[in-house]
Amino acid sequence: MKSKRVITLVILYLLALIICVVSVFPLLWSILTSLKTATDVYSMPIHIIPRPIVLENYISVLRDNDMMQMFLNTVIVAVMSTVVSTVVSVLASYGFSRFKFPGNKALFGSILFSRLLPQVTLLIPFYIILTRLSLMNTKGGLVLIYLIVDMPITIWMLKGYIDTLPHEIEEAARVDGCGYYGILFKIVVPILAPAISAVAMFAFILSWNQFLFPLVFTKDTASRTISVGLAFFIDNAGVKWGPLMAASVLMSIPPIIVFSFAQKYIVRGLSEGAVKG
Amino acid sequence: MKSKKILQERLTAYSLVLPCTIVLLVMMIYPIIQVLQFSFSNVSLPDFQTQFVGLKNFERVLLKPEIAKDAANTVIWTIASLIIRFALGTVAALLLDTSIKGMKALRVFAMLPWIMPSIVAANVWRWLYSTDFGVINYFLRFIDPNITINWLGNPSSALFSVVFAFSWTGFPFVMLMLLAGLQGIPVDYKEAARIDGANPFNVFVHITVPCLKPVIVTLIALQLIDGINSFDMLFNLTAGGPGGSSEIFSLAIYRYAFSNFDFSGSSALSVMLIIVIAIPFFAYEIISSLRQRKNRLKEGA
Repeated sequence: MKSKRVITLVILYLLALIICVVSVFPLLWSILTSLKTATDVYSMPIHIIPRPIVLENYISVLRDNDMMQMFLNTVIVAVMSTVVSTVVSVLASYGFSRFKFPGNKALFGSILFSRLLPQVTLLIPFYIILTRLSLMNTKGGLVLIYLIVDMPITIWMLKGYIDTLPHEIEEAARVDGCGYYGILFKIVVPILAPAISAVAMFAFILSWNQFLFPLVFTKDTASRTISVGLAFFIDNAGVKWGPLMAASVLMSIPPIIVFSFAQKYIVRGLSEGAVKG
Repeated sequence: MKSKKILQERLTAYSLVLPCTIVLLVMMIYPIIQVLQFSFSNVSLPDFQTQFVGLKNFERVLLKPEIAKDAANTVIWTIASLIIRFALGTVAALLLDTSIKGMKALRVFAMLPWIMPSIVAANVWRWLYSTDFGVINYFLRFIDPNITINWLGNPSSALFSVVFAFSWTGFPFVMLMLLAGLQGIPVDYKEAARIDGANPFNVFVHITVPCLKPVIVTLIALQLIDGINSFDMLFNLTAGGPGGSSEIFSLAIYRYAFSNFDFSGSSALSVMLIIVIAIPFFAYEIISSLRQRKNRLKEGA
């Protein structure tokens, strides 16, 4: 009986180990590659551990003005779209959660539907909208487009959080003569501050990771994001894997850090929706 | 007095949802109308003049020689990645749901593929799959020294190679949602079943799976849509090639518009894709609102 338990335990740990390796190995391998010299990258047999371990790939990326400009663009666009979509979503989710009005359901349904639309089907209309607004090839244009990426999921998550708040506090404030906006900003927002900041962090990750829209709507390094830069990391000699992997590692750091801060709330916010159906 | 209060409430509500309504109108409703209009028109560039041509674009797109292959690829891509994501995600979620020591580490590590930017994941896998210097072929050469599989460059392996990379980026989400569902199952259910003599497998089939049904249904829907909508991974790893062997509809829509500058053909295909996604969505919405009404009637009675 006891030996049977041990065997089960061993199998479970083995499965866990396999999943860990499958999850981590690709990233680990790119980190190892990023620490290799240009010749060591192509050495055969492969050196799993770089010989020698060098930082030259990171230095070359950090010294590359175009890369740094695109990195900065990504930060600006991601932060701006996060701020705007969070403000819009706090207002809207409070409206959806606390008020009955004609069109409530239809509007909320449309928001969910916008999350399901394939991005690629929106390229032509967005192209026309941005051209008409003279926002082609600008960071502002990207911020506008990212709203439709971030907003559906932030509204959905925030509404879930506001729904769980008891009405009593707000009703007490109403009796004391506090207006709806006063209640929202003096009571609801402070109570939900951790959840709101976590939702904002999730929006930041979504914006940070965008690829298709900046690929189509930016043409030079003045507005291009790092994700597009990484797709064109190629010169006459082919792909420079060392610097590419160094830049990839650098690009992954912000979303991983942000996620580790907000993990608990993001997971709860996402799963509550799915569990409720 | 009362109607004034209701009016005030409505005005507040509308002012709250106004900004998001504007975003929706500009960035979703108008785009959909635009795509619809283009799909029924001849579009002349560069001024986007349109001329109504009825169903001609749809006919033209559906008669393209690659359309059947694209359809088959889209189905294979979506279903295969759904299956792999569920397989990995279910195992990981069940492991995390046990009280075995050290599983917290699994949770931390398993989240990485999901958080990583799609372009980074694509580059990483392109490097792993590299024919001459890739680590996958390197390990396989321990088994057979002559192995030189061109994972991404061979028409028979390209699609499945990318399916695996794509499933890798998505399984942690399945894991998280299933885990949340698992933790929502009351402990007494399983206890009771166990006392009645059910073995772990029976508990899983008769207690766990039925309890998770709503989560699973939602997840399947989300993953199917995610598969149909996906673009980044395939675009960066194979760009639909070689020779269209790994092209799915989303890549074809992009290719028509931005390689061939066939905006009307691209829009026609977009409309068809949107309809494919819209039908289950509206069916689900209608069913759930009917169910809610029924429940309310029951409660009323």
